Amino acid sequence: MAVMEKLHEIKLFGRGGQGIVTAGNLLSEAAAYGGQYAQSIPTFGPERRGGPSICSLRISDKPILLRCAVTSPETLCVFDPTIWHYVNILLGFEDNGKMMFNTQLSPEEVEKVLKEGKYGYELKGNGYEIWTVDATEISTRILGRPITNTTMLGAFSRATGMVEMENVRKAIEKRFPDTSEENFKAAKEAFDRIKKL
Amino acid sequence: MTEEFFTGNRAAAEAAKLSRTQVVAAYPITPQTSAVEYISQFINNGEMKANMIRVESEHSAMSACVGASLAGARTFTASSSQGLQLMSEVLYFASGMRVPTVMGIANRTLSMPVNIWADHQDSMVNRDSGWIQFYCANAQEVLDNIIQAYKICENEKVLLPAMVCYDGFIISHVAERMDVLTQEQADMFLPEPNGSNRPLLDPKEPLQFGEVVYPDWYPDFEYKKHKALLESRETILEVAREYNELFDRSYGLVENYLTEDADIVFMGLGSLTSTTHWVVNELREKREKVGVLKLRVYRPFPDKEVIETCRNAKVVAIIDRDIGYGTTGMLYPDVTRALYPLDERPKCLNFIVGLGGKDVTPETIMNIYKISERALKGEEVDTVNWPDARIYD
Repeated sequence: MAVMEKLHEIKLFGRGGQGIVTAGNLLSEAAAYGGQYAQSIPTFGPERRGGPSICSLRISDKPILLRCAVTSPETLCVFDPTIWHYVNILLGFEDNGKMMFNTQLSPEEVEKVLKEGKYGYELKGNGYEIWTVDATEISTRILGRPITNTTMLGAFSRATGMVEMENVRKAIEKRFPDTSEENFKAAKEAFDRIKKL
Repeated sequence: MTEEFFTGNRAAAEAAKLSRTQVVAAYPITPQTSAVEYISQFINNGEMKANMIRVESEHSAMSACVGASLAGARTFTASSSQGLQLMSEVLYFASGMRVPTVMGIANRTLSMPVNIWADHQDSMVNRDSGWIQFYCANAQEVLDNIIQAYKICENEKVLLPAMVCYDGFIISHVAERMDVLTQEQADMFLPEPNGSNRPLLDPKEPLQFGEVVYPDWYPDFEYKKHKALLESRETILEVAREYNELFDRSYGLVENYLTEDADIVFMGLGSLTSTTHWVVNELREKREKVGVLKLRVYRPFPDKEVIETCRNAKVVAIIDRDIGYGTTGMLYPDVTRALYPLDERPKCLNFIVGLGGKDVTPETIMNIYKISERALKGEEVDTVNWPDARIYD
């Protein structure tokens, strides 16, 4: 794993009911198992199923002093296949950052859509990375429901290298002792299948 | 010590468990937090031997804690916002009857307009209720402060209640890495509650609590309560030293960071001091002489420490996450009063930020810095500033 030299700022996007807050906690916990400091900050408000749910995540090799939401993320992880049609996920995004999408589209297709500004905001620059995986399909097949919060952990691990899969497994086992095997299997499949632009 | 990944609410619940709290009274719906939900799970799992009293309001929750405490039990409750306001009357009963109960407060604003998010309005308006007040900057401090609070409050020189305040959502709902004492470690630090150093309700030797005191004697009672709170600072420091010796985590009444040679000292309560600490690091890299003073304890007010830190500063930026309508932020007059006797006083500026959950970001603190820097250069600036509000003049 790459040596952590700086504070990593990440945003997770999904919908209420999809377990985005849990995903943030699992990723932070996995980072902590890897000896790093981590903090997961949900956007707070009256939650409603289906509404946007956004979580800020920080991972660092030093204790984290900042106590506020992430405003200029370098990494985006999009758990829901259509949330980015309605929410400007690129707000404050650093041009040379990484994006992971749960979608049936290829990374090339996602890039085209974002460059065209189809949803009212445009991707600029060219230093970014786009990764895609059909996590909904994986989750539905392995877990029996289209909840991608554990599946996308594998995608995140592969694309960012910030958390090791072994630590993702530990975090999943602690949180879901009864279903950890299937959940980790789904995460592992996303890890293996995610494609990069 | 075990490394865990907990939210502030979970840390509060763990602290109540580690302190072997015997009675927990709480009203279980909004604005309650998951702290008491965790406690009820601990009790249900058999991890914690306590009676959970589900009351019909926060007023009753505090009343139950006072009653159980007078019978000798170690008691805990949690609340915030309107819940704390409903409890307000009984807060004074608790301090007046010298009850050593401890309460966790996930700081949230007071409506209207309706808002459920973080600021310090709820605990600040209760700052004069005779309770010790701690403010935390992260989940670790929530745990450490609650455990220490019992030891402080139950000391016979103190016998007062304490509020351990932590920012709603920003600390209460944020999961982070922290170290949790084992039960053996907690037991080593905090002896089992026995109430032997104070008068208790006992059917065999009946006593009356909360009696009428006529005007001739009333000031005497008030003076004693006030003096006990003022003098509790020594016990707070003593207990902090002991905690540090055992667990290697250092606490005082305040925490100074790079204030020694600072021209501008930022001062505040709670999680915003942590973000300020980060900004101070950034500014120090540009060789700006700035530092931050975090008040861990707000009541009793740490006059001596505030004077010590501010006497050589040129500008003190007092950051309030609350507003005293019609005057200034509520921390501001405490600081200016403490500094008034100095022959050469620093310029004291007040900044009202983060009300109703408005995120206090590095940019917010940089805006405070910019105004303070203008004052440092001798420019005229407003005394009270609202750097994160839209001002429609």
